[in-house]
Amino acid sequence: MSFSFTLKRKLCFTGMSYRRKGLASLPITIFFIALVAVAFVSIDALTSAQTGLFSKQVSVENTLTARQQELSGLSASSAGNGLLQVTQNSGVTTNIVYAIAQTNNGQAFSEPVNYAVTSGQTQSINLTSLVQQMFNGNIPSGLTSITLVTSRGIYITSQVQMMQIPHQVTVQQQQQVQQASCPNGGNLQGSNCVTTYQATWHPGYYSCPAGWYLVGSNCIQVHPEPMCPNGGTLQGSTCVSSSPASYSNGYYSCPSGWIRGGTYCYQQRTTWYYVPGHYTTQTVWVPGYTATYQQCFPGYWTTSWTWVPGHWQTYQYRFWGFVFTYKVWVPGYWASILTWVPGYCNTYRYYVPGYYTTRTVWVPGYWTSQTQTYRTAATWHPGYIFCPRGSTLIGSNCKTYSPPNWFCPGGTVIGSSCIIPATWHPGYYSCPNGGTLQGSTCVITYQATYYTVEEMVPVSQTVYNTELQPVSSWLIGG
Amino acid sequence: MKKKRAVSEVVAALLLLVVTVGVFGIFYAYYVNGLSSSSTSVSQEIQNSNKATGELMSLVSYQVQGNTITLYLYNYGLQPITLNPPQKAFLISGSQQQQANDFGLSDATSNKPINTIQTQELAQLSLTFNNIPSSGSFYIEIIDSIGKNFEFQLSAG
Repeated sequence: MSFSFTLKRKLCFTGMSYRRKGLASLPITIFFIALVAVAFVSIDALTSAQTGLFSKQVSVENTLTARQQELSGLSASSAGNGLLQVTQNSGVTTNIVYAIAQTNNGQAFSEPVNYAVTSGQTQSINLTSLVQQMFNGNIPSGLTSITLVTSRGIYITSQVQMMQIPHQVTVQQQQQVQQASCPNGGNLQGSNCVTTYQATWHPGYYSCPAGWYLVGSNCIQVHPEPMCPNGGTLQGSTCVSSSPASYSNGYYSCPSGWIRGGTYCYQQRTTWYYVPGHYTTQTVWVPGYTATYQQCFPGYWTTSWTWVPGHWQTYQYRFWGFVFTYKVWVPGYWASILTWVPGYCNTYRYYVPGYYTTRTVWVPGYWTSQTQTYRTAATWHPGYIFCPRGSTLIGSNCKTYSPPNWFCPGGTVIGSSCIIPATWHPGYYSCPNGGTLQGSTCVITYQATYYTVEEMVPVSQTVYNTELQPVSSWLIGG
Repeated sequence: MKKKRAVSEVVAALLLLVVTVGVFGIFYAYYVNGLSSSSTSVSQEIQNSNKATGELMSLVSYQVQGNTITLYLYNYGLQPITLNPPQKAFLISGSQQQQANDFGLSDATSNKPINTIQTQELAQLSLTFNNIPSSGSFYIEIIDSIGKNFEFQLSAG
């Protein structure tokens, strides 16, 4: 009570105390500073990242938003061979943290796993390996589904079926085995025995045809068979070849710049000359035209008789300052009247026809040309018979004389001898005892002798491994 | 007279400071730790509401075997969720509601009995009812230690 009284009292008198004493406002100032401090601390407590109410609501909202985002982008598919492909496409990373395996007898088993599916990527999960990991290498019978649980509480349930996959394995098995031996010291190769020995070497040598002499690696024949080239005939020790002579026909020719026409040569020449200035008479046409002609008649005076009807004529005369008027009857009469007839002009149009007339004009000097054709007889060149160089014209044939060639096919003629390379017979190996030659070795193959022993031999067997195959039935939710 | 007024102003200022700090201390104690009181206070309700907001749990799998339903519950929230006590679970089918006779909560991997599902943890909850529908869908409602309800829809058969 005393506190509230004191506070009320101080509050009531604060304004007055402030005016009177500066120290009197101190309690109120301290109170407001403390109040502001309390407000700050309270706001900080409400919005604290660890314990603040608002921050917790924001965290929950973020968690729910991320969960909804993960659920919307999650999909699963089967890739065969027991692989389950999980895909996330909504911008968050899906962490699979638990796996639950259920059997058809109502049992279920769960185990923590760790698979991360980043956004935009696909994670392949081997369900067979996963279940074997959960059940110590075994796959329980009657397994019906596998559920994967993400860190945001979303499940992917895949129905699975168990498949027996055959595999070929090799095991050791005791069997009676036929073993081969080579009694004559041969080497066992497969089911045969092989004996080898050195082949006999036969060295190579040169040989020449009959009638030729072997000199080194060449064959030489002295005075071999003569032969004439180009179909010539041997006459004594000379080859004579004959061929028809060539005949050249006669022809006309013209000098350079002339053009032949038949037996004549033609040439066109152009001559320039100067025509001096001169007068010349030319016939010109004067065109017709339309002309006008005016004829005028002058005016003149003429008399004519006119009847003047009777009428009263008024007369006046003065007398002493008085004016007297009287009328006199004038009877009708014929009167001669002088009348002016005015002149006039008439204009006539007429056509003057055109006509030719001659006149003398001056033509200035100018250069002009004149082309003339000249003709002369063409030159005749008569035909003749000729032979190629080195042959002689005899009658109408050309004959060529040459020494004979020695017949030396594939060889070289030196003087009157023909030299050809001798034939080389290379050396070779042979197997005198019926072996088969392989390189420089003879090989004899014969059937091995067999006997029976018991030993362990590898045998291929088929075993069946149990694998899980996800069926096309997915359930994703949370 | 002047001397007495000066002393009373200083004393009043100190008293105001003490009162302000005291009020703040009481508020902070209520908010952060709560007061040790047997009865449910307003601050306790605020704390429970705050905790309930952070409790998030999903049903990821379940099995029905006879009269027993086994639920696989995953805590993806920010708070541990305590179900034992109160061990309250109900099966709601249409207008019928029945409470679970048997309530067994265990770790899904080790099968050890637990009372609280920690965050990021998978738990196995076995519930036994007198009558479980053999067809159609029904609901399982679970109430945790702070009174928050978790309702899950299940399909029979």
